[in-house]
Amino acid sequence: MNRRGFLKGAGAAAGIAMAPQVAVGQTPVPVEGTTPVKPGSDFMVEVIRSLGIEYCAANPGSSFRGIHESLLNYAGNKMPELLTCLHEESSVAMAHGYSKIEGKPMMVMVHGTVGLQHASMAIYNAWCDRVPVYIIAGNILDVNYRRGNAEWVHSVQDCAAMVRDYTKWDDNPVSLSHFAESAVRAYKISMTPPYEPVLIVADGKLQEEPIEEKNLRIPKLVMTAPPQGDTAAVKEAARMLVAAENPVIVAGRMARSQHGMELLVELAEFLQARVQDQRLRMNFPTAHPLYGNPGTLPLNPNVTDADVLLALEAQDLWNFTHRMTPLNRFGMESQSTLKPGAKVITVSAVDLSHKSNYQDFGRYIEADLAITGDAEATLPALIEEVKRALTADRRRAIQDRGRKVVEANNESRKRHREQAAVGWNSSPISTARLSAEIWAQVKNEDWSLVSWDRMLSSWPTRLWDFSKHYQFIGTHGGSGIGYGLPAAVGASIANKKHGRLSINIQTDGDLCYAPGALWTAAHHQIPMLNIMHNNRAYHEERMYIALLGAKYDRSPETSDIGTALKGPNIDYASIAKGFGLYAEGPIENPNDLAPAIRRGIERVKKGEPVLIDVITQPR
Amino acid sequence: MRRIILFTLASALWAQSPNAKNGQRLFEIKACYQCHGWQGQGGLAGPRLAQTKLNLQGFVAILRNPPPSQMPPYRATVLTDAEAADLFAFIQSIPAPPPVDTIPLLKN
Repeated sequence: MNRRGFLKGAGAAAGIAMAPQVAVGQTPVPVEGTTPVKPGSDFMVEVIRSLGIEYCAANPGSSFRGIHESLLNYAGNKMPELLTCLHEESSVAMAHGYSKIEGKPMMVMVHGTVGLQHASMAIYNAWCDRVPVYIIAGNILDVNYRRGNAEWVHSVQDCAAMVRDYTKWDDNPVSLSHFAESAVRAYKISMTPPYEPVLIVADGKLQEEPIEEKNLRIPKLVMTAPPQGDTAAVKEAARMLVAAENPVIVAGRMARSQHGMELLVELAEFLQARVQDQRLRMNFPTAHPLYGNPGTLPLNPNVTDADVLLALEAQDLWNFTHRMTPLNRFGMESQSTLKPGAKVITVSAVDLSHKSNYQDFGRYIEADLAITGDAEATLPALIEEVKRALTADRRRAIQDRGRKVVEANNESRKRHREQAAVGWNSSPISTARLSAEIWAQVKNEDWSLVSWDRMLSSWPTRLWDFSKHYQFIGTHGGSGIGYGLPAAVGASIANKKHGRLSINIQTDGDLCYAPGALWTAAHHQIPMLNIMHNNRAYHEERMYIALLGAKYDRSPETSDIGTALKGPNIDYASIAKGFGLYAEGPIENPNDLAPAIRRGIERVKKGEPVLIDVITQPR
Repeated sequence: MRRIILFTLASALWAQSPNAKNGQRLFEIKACYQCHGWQGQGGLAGPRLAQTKLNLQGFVAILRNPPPSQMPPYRATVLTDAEAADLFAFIQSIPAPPPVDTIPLLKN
């Protein structure tokens, strides 16, 4: 019987999801009446299916064609389902966004050399953002199996080398049993905090040659319990926090789940401590009275009044607690912004996964108490210790403090609304108006913002009511542009099965990197509302050029050169239509926004991706 | 001497009649809008300028020697005193925003 006969006999040719041929933890049972000839990639797919991965994002590449074919014709294109991507960078960013919502990895397949090179920046973003991505890279290691030049230039001795600095683990299996063990191990490592991308090389010969190994089995996946902070250290942290007059909590990549958010709320309320959210995860409800003010200048919120600072998976904490010479001055000096005697407590799992070359670890923190452990996993113990340490006197003092925090919070919210009114009717449309108009249309829906909002001066954070973990996905991690659109598509894929309304406020420069992700959304019918924040520039860089021009008594007038995206203006609605989306715009009159957004939501609710181009103010 | 008199006269003229329209043009070409917004509304990149409580002297002082921030110094070689006055006139001409309570979307 040929291979097709085997597939037919197994039921996969009819598109039915097959029961695994190889049960987890068991040796395979031969299927009666079928030929034993089947490719190694079938087994590889069985291994992948055992991990419960829902989707596989890929731009096709011949070095993984064996797995590609097995996914379709052996596994029936289910668990995982293939997502057709137009660029490997988009594949990884899509997985990145998906993981932010779903809390587990999407699989990505890349061509061993050029595909992985394309994917590398997005892998770096995921690394910096502590996000699991499960990467399978195709490669042909054995020279005897390289058919012609294309397979020579697409083959590599050590495939993972180019991304090893920013992946948590990789392996290059030389047998199917080796693949099974490493594939399971990789998943486990990726999903142990700190979450990070992992990479397994799928050798072309192993994929495409018939299975010859005997007694193949898939190891049982046992997830690692996340590392919790040392008990004595947690007790000491609780003592310091309860004794503090003004503790402040800095939340970075703290909440991995809704439960994590709820734990942070519980801790903050026991302490009546302000939470300064770095908005890298959905850590804390934005309407909570203890939520720190996100709209202050300078960018890093003021923590000068803290006597104890608790940093939970914080990013670049040093910059949070120090003032450095800004760009409009010469030289570089720094000074602490904490008041004398203030104590710093850090809780983070990132210390378990440091590497040397890339500098995403930030500056060394001279903490008074540094706890290595996942913050979300450590919070239950910390909360218990805080409860134990609370005396009646301390409870009274803490309640008084809470009232002051709430008053300050109310005042800052009032200021935000007053500032939002400035330029309300202007064109280009203010980012505050844009954010308020979107909020008016989505606030009664089960919504999820699948984009960062810093480029809109954080107006959604300031004006919307974020209360659920899936309502915000944080940021790119490594500031690699080209992340936004595909990450939003990936997050929207995760939201789809939950019936949530995904909203992507999409910056123009980012979309231009890989607009093909729009086609992926249309092709796979991913409902999502894309609203362009079209300021017609790579505006951050435009500001820097103007700044330096003025600083050196030259001219800020040239700052459009090399940064502005105008002349001709880019017609994003036409681009989206070309990729098969319903699209409107450009919208320049703010009064046209609400009806356009309503029309868009109607379409999205029918299962379509939509794009509305809006001409906006810079920030 | 004649030159000094003319300069003084010219200075007095621009001081008395700054040109808000030219200020608006400068607000764009000198990149002020990039951080402060087209209506001077401010944002995370730069503070609000609209409805500033500064007078011209205070405004120019900050323009020439801004506090440590992302704001570059705009010295006279980049923006003359006359241009600074025009710029200030434009900022002062920005109409006050409608009261928050009159904007339904901002009421809560």
